[in-house]
Amino acid sequence: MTSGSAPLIRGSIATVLGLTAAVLGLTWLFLGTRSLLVNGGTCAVGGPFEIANPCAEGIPAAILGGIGIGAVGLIIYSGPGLRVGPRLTILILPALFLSLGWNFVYFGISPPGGAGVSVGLLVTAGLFLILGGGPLLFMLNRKDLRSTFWSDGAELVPDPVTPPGPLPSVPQVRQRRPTGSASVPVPPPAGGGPDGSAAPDDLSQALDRLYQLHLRGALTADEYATAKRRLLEQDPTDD
Amino acid sequence: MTDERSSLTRRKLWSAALQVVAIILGVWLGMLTFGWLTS
Repeated sequence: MTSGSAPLIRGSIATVLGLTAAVLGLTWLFLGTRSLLVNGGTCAVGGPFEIANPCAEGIPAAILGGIGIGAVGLIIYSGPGLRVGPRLTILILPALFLSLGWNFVYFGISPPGGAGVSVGLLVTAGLFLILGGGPLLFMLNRKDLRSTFWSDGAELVPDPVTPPGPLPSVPQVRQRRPTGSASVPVPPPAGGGPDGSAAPDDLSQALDRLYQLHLRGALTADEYATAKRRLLEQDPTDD
Repeated sequence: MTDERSSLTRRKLWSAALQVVAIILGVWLGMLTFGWLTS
């Protein structure tokens, strides 16, 4: 097993466990509230009073357990889960509100007992559908859709940085024997990089040497200007 | 760079496949265990 596969295995396990638990919790909430609405939308359990509408067996555990298991699953999925590919954390609230809103729509249109349309349930349904569907409308752009369903996991893949290309080497200035004097070799800037680029301190020395050569007549004005321009273009401090 | 991108694409597909399985499993387990809870 390579060192790179261990995080992948851990992330995969966390993703499967976390998302399974989150969806299980959401399913319990959906089915639990559905059962609750079948019995009129309210129920009670425990306490010293006589209960008019007792809860069906297991409904409180399903609703409360669904919230707890769903929350834990979401934390596991969002934390140590895989960072690439679909990142569905942001969809949990729309999923919750839309699924519960659907229950309110269904029982608002055909409430138990056949009493006609239930305005209260339909108003609640409208609110839930707005809360669930509203954020989805803001996600209808390429960037958000990509980050939700096809994330690059930016912390795993660093932005590619194109290294700068090699700097051009210092041109060898053509030596010209001045009249009556020995030819003067043109040394490259001292302390330059392996690609011939000039360090800042060396740049001033190189410019000074060029100027001295120009004064002595070893370089014409054009040659001096050309060599000086090339030297300045290689200055690593320039942006 | 090409190898990095293809490796990233493979990881994304793996993640997507895992999550599809997890969602199906979550719905199925949720319905199964809800039946046990309320029976």
